[in-house]
Amino acid sequence: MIKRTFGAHPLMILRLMKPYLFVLILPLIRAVVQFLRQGRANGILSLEITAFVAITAVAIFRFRCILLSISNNRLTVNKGFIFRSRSVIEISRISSVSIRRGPIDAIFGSADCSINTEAGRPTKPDFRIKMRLEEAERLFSLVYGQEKTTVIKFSALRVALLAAATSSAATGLVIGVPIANGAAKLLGVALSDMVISGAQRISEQFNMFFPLTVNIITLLLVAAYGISVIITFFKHVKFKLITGQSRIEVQSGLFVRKRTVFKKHSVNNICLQQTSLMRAFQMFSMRVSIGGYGDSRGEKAVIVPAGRHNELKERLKTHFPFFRAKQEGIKPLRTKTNISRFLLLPTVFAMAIISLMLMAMIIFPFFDRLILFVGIVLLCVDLYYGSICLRDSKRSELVLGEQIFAAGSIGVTVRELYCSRNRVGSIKITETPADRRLHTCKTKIVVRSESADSVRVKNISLTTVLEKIREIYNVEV
Amino acid sequence: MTFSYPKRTALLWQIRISAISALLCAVTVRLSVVIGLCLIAPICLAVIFIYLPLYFKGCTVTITECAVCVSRGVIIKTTHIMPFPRLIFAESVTTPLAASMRLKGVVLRASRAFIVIPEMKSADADFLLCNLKVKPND
Repeated sequence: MIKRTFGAHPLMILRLMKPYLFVLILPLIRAVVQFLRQGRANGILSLEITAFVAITAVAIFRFRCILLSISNNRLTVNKGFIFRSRSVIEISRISSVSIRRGPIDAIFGSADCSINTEAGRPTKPDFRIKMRLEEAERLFSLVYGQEKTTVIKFSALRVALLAAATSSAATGLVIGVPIANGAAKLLGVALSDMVISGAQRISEQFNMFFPLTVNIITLLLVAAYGISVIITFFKHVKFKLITGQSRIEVQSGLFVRKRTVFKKHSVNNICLQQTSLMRAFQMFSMRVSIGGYGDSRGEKAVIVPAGRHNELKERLKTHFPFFRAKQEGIKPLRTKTNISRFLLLPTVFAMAIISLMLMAMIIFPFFDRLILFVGIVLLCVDLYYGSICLRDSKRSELVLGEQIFAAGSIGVTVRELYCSRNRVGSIKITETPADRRLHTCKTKIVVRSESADSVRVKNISLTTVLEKIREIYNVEV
Repeated sequence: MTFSYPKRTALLWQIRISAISALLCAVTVRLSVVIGLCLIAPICLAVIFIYLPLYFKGCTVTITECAVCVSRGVIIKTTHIMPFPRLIFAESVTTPLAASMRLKGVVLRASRAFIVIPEMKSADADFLLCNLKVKPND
């Protein structure tokens, strides 16, 4: 293999200075602006300038020391100026390589290249270097080679469905509130007061139907949810899946275009998930779990934002052996007793909600409307949970063989898990007193990975499960 | 194949610990002369002149057909074994002082685990980096 050597892009200097941004650079800029406006320098301006020059010099030297080279199926990463490090990685051990390009990268012809292995921290890429775009592309092709690929595109509507189904108000608040506060400081306006008084004005119009507090909170949560949906949508729009014989490439994003490649053999498991909103459209999203993937939590990569169940399997079964025709699975018995066992928890929750609601209305009569509203919402959620449990009684299944398949639910999310036998981390079999009486069990399959995807299949035959485990793992339980 | 540590490694760490000890003693003496001179200083001297030489004398790195074994310790001896199939990549780390003594440290990284091998001869470290049998993923 011909040796190839790559350096960093000059924009990397700014990244290396970033840790000192708030401590030194911003105060220095403020001091310089003050000096230019008022002709008055604070006492430590000269010290700040000296420190700034020193940090810039160190950043430049560190930038010059960054070197990536590929030879003999190994990637060598040299970095560091005072504390030098040299990492030697077998190309086969690289989990994924991703290239990210924002608007600034588009202007300067650079790209953020992240190289990941299973050895790194889950929330941080192992190596993240700003390179020239053409060099990053060449690194890609050297690591993964060239092969014939199939391109599968997904419409913006499906991406919107994924965004709507996977976003949350909590995410919107976490992202939106600091931005709003920052904007308010910059503009010198009390933005949060304006938002709350606006929300109050709108809420008052619905006061006769719902309590005012509930209206305000709902409005703010809906706004936060909307922010999260918009961000997720722009993160995944123009979604493209490119599959080759041995690798998979995912491209997505509008303003910040992200391109990630990983080997098929790095895939630990595939999950088909259906949230409550996706259930209304009868669609699933497909995610894979890859060891050492990217800088996202849980090592998951979205492969398909939204698609019908059969469509997903038809389109992708040639690319993933997990989707091949499976053997007959172990399913819960369709008896009245078994079905009622599935509906036990939702029934208990409903009774608890009603009891708590009545007690609260007696103890706090002033808040009766609020309590009633919260109670009705909880009962609706419980009703939906009951429908999921009923679905589980009909559709949950466990297949134990060379390929493992488990269909069940986690909370109110329907989930199907596909993995090969040697990717299973643990199988947990639980028997309650009712299970012992009826010779059933609850089986939980956990995949061997950092994200530890799992599915629990309830109320299936214990004897059959133990027999299958003996057959495939040669373990006597 | 077994690698042991040259005397320079012990000297490097003696210099490092001496610098830290001098700072620690200076701070402690300022607060309390008795604690500084009677407690901290003797402990630091014992670590520098007794513990460190013994530690590096007993420290070995062995590469077998299937694993890397790092043995070390004076009072409590430990052996770290990293099988090659679990090894993801290796990294060498050096500081200006270590580089001037022609020494390099090595970090072996596995999935969510790592072994730090203290500074060894640069040639040995480079040999280790280039010849570890990192097997392709199955």
